[in-house]
Amino acid sequence: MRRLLRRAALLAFHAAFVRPVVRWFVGVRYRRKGFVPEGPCLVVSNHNSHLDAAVLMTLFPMRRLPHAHPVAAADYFGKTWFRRTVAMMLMNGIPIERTPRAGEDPLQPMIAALESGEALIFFPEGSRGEPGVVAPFRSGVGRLVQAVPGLLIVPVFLSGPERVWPRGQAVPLPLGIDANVGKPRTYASDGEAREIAESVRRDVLALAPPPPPVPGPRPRPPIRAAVCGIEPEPRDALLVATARRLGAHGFTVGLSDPAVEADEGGVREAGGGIPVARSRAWIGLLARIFRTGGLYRGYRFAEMVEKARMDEALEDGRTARFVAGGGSALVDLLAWAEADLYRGVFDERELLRVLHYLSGERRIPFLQWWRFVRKAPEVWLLNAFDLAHLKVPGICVLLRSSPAAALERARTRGRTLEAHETRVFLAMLQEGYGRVAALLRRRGVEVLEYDAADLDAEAVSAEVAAHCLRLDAAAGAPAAGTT
Amino acid sequence: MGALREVRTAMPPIVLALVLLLLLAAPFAFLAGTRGGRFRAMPGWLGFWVLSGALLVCLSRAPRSFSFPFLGAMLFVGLKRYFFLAPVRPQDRWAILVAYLWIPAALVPAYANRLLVLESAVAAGLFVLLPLLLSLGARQAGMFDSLGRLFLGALLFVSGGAHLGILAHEPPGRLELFAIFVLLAELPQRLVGRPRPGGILRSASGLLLAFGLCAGVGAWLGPLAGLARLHGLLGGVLVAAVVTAGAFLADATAEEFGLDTAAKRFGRGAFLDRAVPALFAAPAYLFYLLLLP
Repeated sequence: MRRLLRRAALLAFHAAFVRPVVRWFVGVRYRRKGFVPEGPCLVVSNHNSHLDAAVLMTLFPMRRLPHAHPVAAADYFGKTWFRRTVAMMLMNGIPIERTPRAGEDPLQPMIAALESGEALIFFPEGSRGEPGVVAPFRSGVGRLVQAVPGLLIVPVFLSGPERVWPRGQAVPLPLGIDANVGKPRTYASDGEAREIAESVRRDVLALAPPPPPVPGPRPRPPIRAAVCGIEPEPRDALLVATARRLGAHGFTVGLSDPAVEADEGGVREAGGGIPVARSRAWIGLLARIFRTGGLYRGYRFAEMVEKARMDEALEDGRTARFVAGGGSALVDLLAWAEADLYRGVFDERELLRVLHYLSGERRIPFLQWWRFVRKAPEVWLLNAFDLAHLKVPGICVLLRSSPAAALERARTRGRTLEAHETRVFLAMLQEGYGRVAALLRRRGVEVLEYDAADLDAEAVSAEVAAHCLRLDAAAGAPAAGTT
Repeated sequence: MGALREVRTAMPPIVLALVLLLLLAAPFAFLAGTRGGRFRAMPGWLGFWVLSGALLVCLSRAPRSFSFPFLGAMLFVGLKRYFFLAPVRPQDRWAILVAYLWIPAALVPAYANRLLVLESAVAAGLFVLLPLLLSLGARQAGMFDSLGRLFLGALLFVSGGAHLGILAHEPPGRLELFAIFVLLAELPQRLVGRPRPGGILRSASGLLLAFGLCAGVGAWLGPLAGLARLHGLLGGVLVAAVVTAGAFLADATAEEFGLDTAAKRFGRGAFLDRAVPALFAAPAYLFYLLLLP
């Protein structure tokens, strides 16, 4: 009976107070709310306000509320009867001792809850810190991962609660909150607890929106380097090496799968790849309807668009000083179009026109639509629906390989070949890259060509980084992320 | 046909004109919306105007005890979205709170049709209360930025909204005519491309169409709102001009807040983009009507 009453009180409190206040008074926008899994999980977020737990509770549907528990500091929320009632009963919290007695494991109730299939909301910073500052995560989250192998962690970044109701303020103001949910993932449980906590923190930070612009002149766009070629493995190896070198000079984003970020501390994966938002799944459907092919078939076209949009978002220069791409959507699509659709019969002017269509500089004339829908649906979709404006890289690194040798190497690496990866087609694609490179050179893009077979990633990355730094110096005032 | 005739007799002609205009704009908005890019927002813009049209018809014809809370809620939502985007200093919380409380305080004189009291409250708030609240407390850099941002928010979502409230006391039909003017001024400009400072010539066709449509429809529908044809025409031109200026302001604000590039504060800027031109035009339209003989 007591349990039933508690559950009724919890549901009534959330239905009548928490949800209306959070949704209508404060105003929360969720991004990728659907990522929150049905089963047991640990929702981990930055912590700046008492509102954080209430906002994270609204990520769960009402029916799951009795199985979702925010973890609340026992020393603070257990202090008075009022706080205890609100935090433990009405918010369904689980108390945690921040200063446990000797021999006591403060995480034990959480481990038990996770093992019994409950979902927890956890703030690894331990306390509400400075507004807008994400403090280092305590090792508790790492210890939970170690104790519950395979634990699904959902990173969430909350922006806004620190303004709505910061620490030390009596009155919350309705100013809006963004809850940016990341892809749930597991962490290897054999690592150090601190290291795990640091990786979780990086995943949470990867979801943070760029800082608001300050008045005055804008930072210049980042320097873009794209590594292209028909073989993905040497391309990705060179991308990582280049990102590491550039990272030593300024914050660098590597757009590959998974995305990487690099700074003085080295290269690391950023936020578990570039997932397609649910609201943009229609792009994949469009691609299926218009039968985009090969590398851009169906959902992969949506992924390419998502990556291109991420690249567009970096254009403002506030986040990264360098952007290195494992392939460039623009160069790859141009080479693809040249190889697959026009089979070398295109003249350069035509290729230049397609470049303008892809970069959004021009619209495909209405009378040409049918031709493009039939022959190059990827180009048409991007241009007609204005899905993304593909960026021309400042430096294009072209890795040349012999198609036969590339196929052989792919087989020896055990990679499953795709339908389009035939010797003839790869030769045409290589030829396409060559033509695109010539076109880019005439547009003032620096094109560096190397043989992929005997590629020394370290030496080549040093050369690419030197070119990038030269362009960076020529561009003038440094962008954001300068170290 | 019979049903149509019934609708025509049951619905005042100016309201019918507004509904027909929204219906006519729908295919344009949805077709343009499928093109993506800057047209992506067109269906949302139309949705906003369906809601705003309902609000303006309510203000014009429904009991004020019903329509004013509706207006207050819209202004609250607008101000909330504005302050989410406009970064101010942590110490300006009290000024923000006052801006929220100012909404009911400005709607009370609007409810009572006391324009002088409203203008005095707006002036006192903008020129005395806000600067005072911003200069209290510990000294922090950025007071001028905060002042500008709070001014703009209060001017649009408190003062502009309260002037809409005063317009509710005008004879029925004038608020609907205002909605028609704003729609007609905005639709061509949004389809052709909004004028931007320095690039007005490129969007000249949209501007000309907007002014022409507003003037023509003003002369045609003016009598339905109790205005002479010439006054309707001039009113249309005035609203088109002020809406264009409001669009400049909305674009500049969006740029200031970093809303002009992809993947920023998702979806938060759309409301401002849609509401600012209309709220900017409301006081000008009110004073124009008050100046008419």
